[in-house]
Amino acid sequence: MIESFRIAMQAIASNKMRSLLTMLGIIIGIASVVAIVSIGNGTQASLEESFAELGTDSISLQTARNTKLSPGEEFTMTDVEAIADRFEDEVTYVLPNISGQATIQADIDDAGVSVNGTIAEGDVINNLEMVSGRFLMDHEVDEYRNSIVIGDDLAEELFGEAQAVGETIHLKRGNTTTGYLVVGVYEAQESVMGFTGYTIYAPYTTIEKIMHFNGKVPSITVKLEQDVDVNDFGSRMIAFMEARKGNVGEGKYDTFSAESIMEMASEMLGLLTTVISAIAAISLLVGGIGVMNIMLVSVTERIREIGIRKALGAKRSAILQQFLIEAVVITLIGGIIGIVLGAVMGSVAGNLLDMKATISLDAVLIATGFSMLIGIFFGLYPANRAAKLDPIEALRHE
Amino acid sequence: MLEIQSLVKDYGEGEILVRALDHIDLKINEGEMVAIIGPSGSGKSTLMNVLGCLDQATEGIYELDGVTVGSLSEDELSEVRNKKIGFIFQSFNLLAKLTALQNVELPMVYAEAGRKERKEMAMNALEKVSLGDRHHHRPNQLSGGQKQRVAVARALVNTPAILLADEPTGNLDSKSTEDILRLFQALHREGKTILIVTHETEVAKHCQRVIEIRDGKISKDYYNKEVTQK
Repeated sequence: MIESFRIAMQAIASNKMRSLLTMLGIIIGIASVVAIVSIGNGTQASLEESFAELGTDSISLQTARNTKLSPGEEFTMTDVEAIADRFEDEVTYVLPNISGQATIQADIDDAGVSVNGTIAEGDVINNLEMVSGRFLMDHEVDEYRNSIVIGDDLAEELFGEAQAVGETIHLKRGNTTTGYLVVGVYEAQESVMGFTGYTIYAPYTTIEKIMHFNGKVPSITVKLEQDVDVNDFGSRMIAFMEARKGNVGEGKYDTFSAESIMEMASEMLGLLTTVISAIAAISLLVGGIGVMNIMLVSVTERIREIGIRKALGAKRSAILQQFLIEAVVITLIGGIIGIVLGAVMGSVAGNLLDMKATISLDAVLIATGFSMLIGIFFGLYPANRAAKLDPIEALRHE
Repeated sequence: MLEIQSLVKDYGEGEILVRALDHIDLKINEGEMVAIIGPSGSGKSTLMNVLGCLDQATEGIYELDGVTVGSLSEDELSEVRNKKIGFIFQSFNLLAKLTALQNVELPMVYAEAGRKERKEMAMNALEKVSLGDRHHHRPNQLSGGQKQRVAVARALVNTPAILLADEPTGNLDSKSTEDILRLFQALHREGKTILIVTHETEVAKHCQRVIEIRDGKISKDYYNKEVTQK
């Protein structure tokens, strides 16, 4: 066995260029599988992370896509309260999503901001870390106060420092410009998608009034108590709303949750990984055929050597083993180079896409095992051919 | 030591049947040095292959060192070749990528001997053919005569029952031929059984016994008076 291994190494070393070219198919195949799996893992991880920030225990009720609602079917503040009453035991809070775009009256780039209407618990809902000041308070929501909370990115842009509590910002929407008092500054997170604009939080009551939504609520977000099934709650909420609006079964409402998005994204990612892996598998198959081809050449070149070995007492199994090990060593070396290359490719791609590509031990072991398997599978036929050679014929071979 | 009875070897079938060996009876005793001569096509190569367990007879009995060869499987034949026969070929048949020592080790690799024992025995064999100082040379760094001496060392390393040499001097100049023949005679004096297939009468003259094959049959079998019998 050790002897066969030594013979195999000698044979490969004496045909370096040929062996390398033969390995190339295996290298490319294994490298792409490893790279894809590690990028896939990284994307999955960063997806989960960013959705975990959004909170997987909240669900939004909204208008179904491509649906036109009649005025009576649109959500109102009464609906928000009705949901809060009806599902009292299951929800932590019910929040009308009132938001809109406004322009800051100041001399800065990206003066456009999105203003999110929220409630006093908005900091918890949105996972906000306060840098200075405080978040909104209940009375500010109840009393339509012009209080706002801004990100430290905007604070620095406007005032040169994060400490902006007490400052006033003028926001323009339509023809109206209103001054707002900054009561707190939160730590702005860098988004997965890069810079997506400044976000300001204000009491939803204020936003509703100033931004002229006229009591209409585009969508309603519900944060659930623990142990409440998000999807099940979603369908009950739709049924409840349909009953209220008298359009049961017309499918005009829809729910949206971080969980459903994550499931969808994971599904897409899985599909993509499968497709690309299938392509890589074809490369491995081609690589395997290359190995078989070169092993057949190697056997033909060494017919006389095989004859000599047989005359000296090598059994069939010894010859078979010798060539099989050579094939496995070629694919294994190819596999190892492929794993290293794939890992490098994965981490480079990870850096470019700004996420952490993770190589799992599983992927490495499977890739190694698979490349050995290719060696055995495609090496068996040439090796068997060598083993079956007649010693007299082989010795006569020039 | 070696005995064949009524040995027949046929090639082909039916109308194209060729009888290469036609009921040969032969007995070779331990310690004999025998030359098998005959023109090409006489069947001496076929006899050599059968005696070397590279090929099996169609009919007849072949017994080598107490083993009845006729009934053996392919793997058992490999084992017999490995343990009981030492081959020496006209074209040396050394593996070009291995050193002299590694070439000599080869039969012991297939005998599954330990690494250390292998090295030691192979070195002894090389010293026996006076090539101990060339053990790390590859075949292309050796002269024809040296290559054949490496081959003899390789044939000796597993202490086989018989040395089978097929035209061992066919590719050598007269000086190297002398060397090899002297080596064979030295081995013969040590008691080795040696069988040399040749068409050179010069080589046959050095052998104690000469068997001539013609048309698949033994036509002559005589002892050389000049060569002293041991």
